[in-house]
Amino acid sequence: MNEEIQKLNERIEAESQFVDDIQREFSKVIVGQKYLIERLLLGLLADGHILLEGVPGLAKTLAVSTLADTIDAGFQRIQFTPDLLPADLIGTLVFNQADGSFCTKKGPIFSNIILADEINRAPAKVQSALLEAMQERQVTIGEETFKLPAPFMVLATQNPIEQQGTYPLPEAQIDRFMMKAIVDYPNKDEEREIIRLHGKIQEPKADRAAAPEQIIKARNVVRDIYIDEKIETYILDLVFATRNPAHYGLDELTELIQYGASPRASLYLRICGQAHAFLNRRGYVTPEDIRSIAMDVLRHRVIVTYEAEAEEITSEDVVRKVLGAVQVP
Amino acid sequence: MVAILLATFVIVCSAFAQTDSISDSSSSVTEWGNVEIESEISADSLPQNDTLEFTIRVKIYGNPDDYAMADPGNPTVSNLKLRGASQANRTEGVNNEIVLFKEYRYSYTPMSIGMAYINPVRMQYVYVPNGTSHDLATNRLEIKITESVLPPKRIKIVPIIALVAAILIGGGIIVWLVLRSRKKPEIVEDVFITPEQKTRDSLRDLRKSFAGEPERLINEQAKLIKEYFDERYRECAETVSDEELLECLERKGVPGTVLTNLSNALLVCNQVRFAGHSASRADAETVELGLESLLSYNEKPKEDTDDIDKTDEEPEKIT
Repeated sequence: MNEEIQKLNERIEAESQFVDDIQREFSKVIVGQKYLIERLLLGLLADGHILLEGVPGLAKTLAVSTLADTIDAGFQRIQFTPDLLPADLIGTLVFNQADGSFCTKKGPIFSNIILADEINRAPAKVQSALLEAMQERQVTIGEETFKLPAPFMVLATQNPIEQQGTYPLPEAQIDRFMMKAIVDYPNKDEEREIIRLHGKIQEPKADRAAAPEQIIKARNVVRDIYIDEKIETYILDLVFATRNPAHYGLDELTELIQYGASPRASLYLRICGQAHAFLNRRGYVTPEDIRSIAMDVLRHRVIVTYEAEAEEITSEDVVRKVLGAVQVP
Repeated sequence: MVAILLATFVIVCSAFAQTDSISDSSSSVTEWGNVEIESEISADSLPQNDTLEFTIRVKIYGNPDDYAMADPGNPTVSNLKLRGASQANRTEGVNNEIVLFKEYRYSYTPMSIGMAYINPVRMQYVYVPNGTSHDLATNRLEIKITESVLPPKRIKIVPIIALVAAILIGGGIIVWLVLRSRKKPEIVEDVFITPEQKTRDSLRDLRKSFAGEPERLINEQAKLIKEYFDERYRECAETVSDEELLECLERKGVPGTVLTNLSNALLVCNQVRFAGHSASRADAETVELGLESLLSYNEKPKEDTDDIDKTDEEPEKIT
């Protein structure tokens, strides 16, 4: 094997020990949800934010809080409500009567892992404040700018039901989420295990499995993972097929796609592919890595037309067709 | 068949036979010298939603310049509404005599159910040679207005022609099929090539074609492996990762040794194609061994699968 890749494999082997430990701790608390846990780890390693969508009760919040426990990082859960204000999120200046000055009161966003629960229930100004912090990784309160701690990761949840009185995230803001993961129900055996595990008097709890510094070191390794030109071309083909489907023999999609995936999609496909290869202890990216994460990276970036909506064709259907049509190297 | 054609012919004929004309009329003729006047209505009874045509015809025999005649104007009517009026003149030679035809046509729509009337139309003319003036008049006409009716349903000819054509074509196909089924079936020798045989042949061809280029050989071998999976294990070929593919094969009862060989082959393929690894002959042999193991396993009867490890033949060395 290529010497550099050999060395990289050794580095990955050394730096990825904590992944097994985190997964083991997860399994103490959460039954099944392999997909969700893998996406959380990908977000952590690729330094991206994740939008989780699923009906209530699928252990989304539990998974995120367990992740924070396993890496011994700060965790804040913010329940987004219609009366939430940006200051409730980022903090504000408080007048101190004793010395007549203003002092800064930092908001819950100053933490490592933020769970923005039901993000679509808060008005646009609050969503905007959060998404700005996600992008800039800093917050300005009054005249002072504060850096957010590293690692900083936002996991926002959306409930696909009960859409009355919600504020759907605008496309420009939803694009800032690296992935949109759809959380599904556990199967019957998993659910049986859940009721047995959580029926005990003492609730299971995850122990610390990694330090935040280990995550930051692992991120550096992830960025070094070799990505071949063929894989880069494959990524570009996938993204361009959402913009010019006719060029890829997908004429039937031309009328169904209003906007294709942004360049941010290409960036995230690359970094997520590298993170996926890291999780599989590989020093190079294969097309399978890209295919594994493509749906989660692209589904919220492909905007379908009204005609597609009328025919009940979703962005997922479009991405599925693109994945089926673009030639795998 | 004949009955079908006959029935179709009857349908077509009846379609042509159906007309919606109303052919009732009344007329009056008054003659003075060489001038005649005649009036006609298209029907003496018509539905409220129909149109009545009232026509006045004047015939002048001889030299038309001998007669000075004014147009009749609109007739006086009751329970009718004038929709349109037109006039046409023509001259014809009848029995070596010139005849001028003047025709005045009026269209009316009924206003309400009951009776409608067209009062007599009077026309005055002056015989120019002696300056005498004369009158001509039509009779008073009455029309019965009945309830509105839906317009008669017309059978369109194009669908009927299409139906006839379809019946004829369908009949022809049935006859052809019946005749064909009576023919003695030809004996076709079907040579079935198994996916394993096809893949083995391709593998041999690749070995010859890319003997000195292990990297290209491995690229082609990887494609061949994919094609074989698509054909033999469609269900497994839809999986995303190599690990899932091997798990799928394991569920299908592929023995562990074959899976190990295959796993090594897939790993080498990936390293050569996506990790910048410079391929060697030994790598190409590893890939071939993996595929050969699976081909041999699938070619053997299933009861012998347990001892596949012992019976597997080593693939030919690449030269």
